[in-house]
Amino acid sequence: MSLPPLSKFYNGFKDQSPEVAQAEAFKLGQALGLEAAHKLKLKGNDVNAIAKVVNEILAKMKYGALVIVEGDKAILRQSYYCPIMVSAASLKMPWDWLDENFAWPWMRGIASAVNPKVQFTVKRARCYGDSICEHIFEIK
Amino acid sequence: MELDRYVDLTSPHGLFVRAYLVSDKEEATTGQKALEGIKERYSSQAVMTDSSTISIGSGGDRYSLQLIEEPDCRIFVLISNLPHGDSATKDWVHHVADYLRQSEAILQLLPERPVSQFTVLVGFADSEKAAISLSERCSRYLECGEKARGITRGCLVANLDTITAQDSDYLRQNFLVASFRKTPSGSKPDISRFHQEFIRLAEFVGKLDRLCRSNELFFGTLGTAEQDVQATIEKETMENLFINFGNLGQIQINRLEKWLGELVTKFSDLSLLASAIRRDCTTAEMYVTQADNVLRGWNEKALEGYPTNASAEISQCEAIIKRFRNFLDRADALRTQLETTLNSIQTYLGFAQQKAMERQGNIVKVLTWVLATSTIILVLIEVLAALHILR
Repeated sequence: MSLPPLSKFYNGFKDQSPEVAQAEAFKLGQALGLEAAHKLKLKGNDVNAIAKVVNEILAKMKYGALVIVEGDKAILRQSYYCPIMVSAASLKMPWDWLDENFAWPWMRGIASAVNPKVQFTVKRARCYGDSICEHIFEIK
Repeated sequence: MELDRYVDLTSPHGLFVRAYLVSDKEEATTGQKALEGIKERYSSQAVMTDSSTISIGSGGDRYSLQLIEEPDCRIFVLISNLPHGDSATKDWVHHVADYLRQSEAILQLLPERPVSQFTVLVGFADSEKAAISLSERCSRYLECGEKARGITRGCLVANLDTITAQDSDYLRQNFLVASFRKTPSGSKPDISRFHQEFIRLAEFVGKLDRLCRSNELFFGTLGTAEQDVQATIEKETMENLFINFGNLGQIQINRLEKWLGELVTKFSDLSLLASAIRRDCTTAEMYVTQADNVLRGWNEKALEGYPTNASAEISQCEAIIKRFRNFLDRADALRTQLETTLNSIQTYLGFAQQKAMERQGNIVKVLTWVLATSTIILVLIEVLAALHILR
């Protein structure tokens, strides 16, 4: 349960339309989400269940932050460095491209394995210059 | 590079330099294709004078656009003469707008995302005083200030601080070179040398600027990362190290081990990021040295309290380097803090594990003693039984 090599993903999809990369990232996330849900013997499909599955994966990949449930939302706040950012800096890949076309659809894919009606919103993103990253999972 | 083959450098003209970074995976013909596109756009007015140069005659003006391919950089150089001879010199500043507008139309056909664009307006004057006056008229006309001024090789060189230069997503710099040699033909080698130097400067300073821009977001993240580490260390230290000191159970050991894992991840992420920035800082320093080598050759004489172009440019470059160094210094401080905490936890865990082992050792001792005593009692019972004492 880990991230695919980001440079391989970037080089494979950078010249294609964003939708193609996003669809692939979503698929990768969804497969991981299903695997984690199965491993956790998960029951339910609310935001708590989503938080459990996402956290299981984030903890394994040493993301450094975990999803917390606040009311009817599962929120991921990251103020430290994350693997996406470190890869962007070390391997000179555009950070916003990696987030938009890999990280965000990938996370949406993970959550969709628990509930296909999940809505993933990027509230704040450091790749756009915000001070922290804040992503919200909701079921609509 | 024969930039003056199709343009008269002894009359007023504009030099426009656009530098691009070339990636490894880019097609080698990208620059050539851009030239061909421009040739097609100007069709009958454009002539490909050699494989890397187009000459464009547009409304009485002549433009020369040259492509210079470097291993990691592509540079387009556009030079345009004013259409009028001596009168152009006389009313030179009034033709500046024409220069800019017509040249901009050609520059817009070049690929997007350059690292820099240098615009150098070259004019002529009879004396140093007249050159200064020309520079002042030019600044007034363009409604800009002069950031720097200096005299070098019989020319006044001024860095013009225009609005377009400030609000751009790539580095834009505008210069004025006013030659005050007695005869214009005498200035040709100097002007030609200035061209080469501005081309090099646009490349080095443009690359430096791009490097800084590409790291801008990472520089910005350090503040929140510092807060994050600080808050985590405070919280976890209070909860794990002090409150439970001397009363360490398996649950606490597990928590400490988990925290140790988190800190190792944080440490490793920060180290990777700092290494990437350190690499870029070294590259940035190399660009500054290259730019400095060009500018040092100018050996400028300062004028009327203005900073020289060399000192203004280098202090701008140094400010960029300072940003890299500031990041690295703070990242080092953060790493030291993480390292200290990591060492503390490792020591603490080692101590806890040793204590646990000691406890286990004590239990074994007691068990051994109980076992030995039981064995002795059993043997005694057997002996006594054998002697019929217990019967």
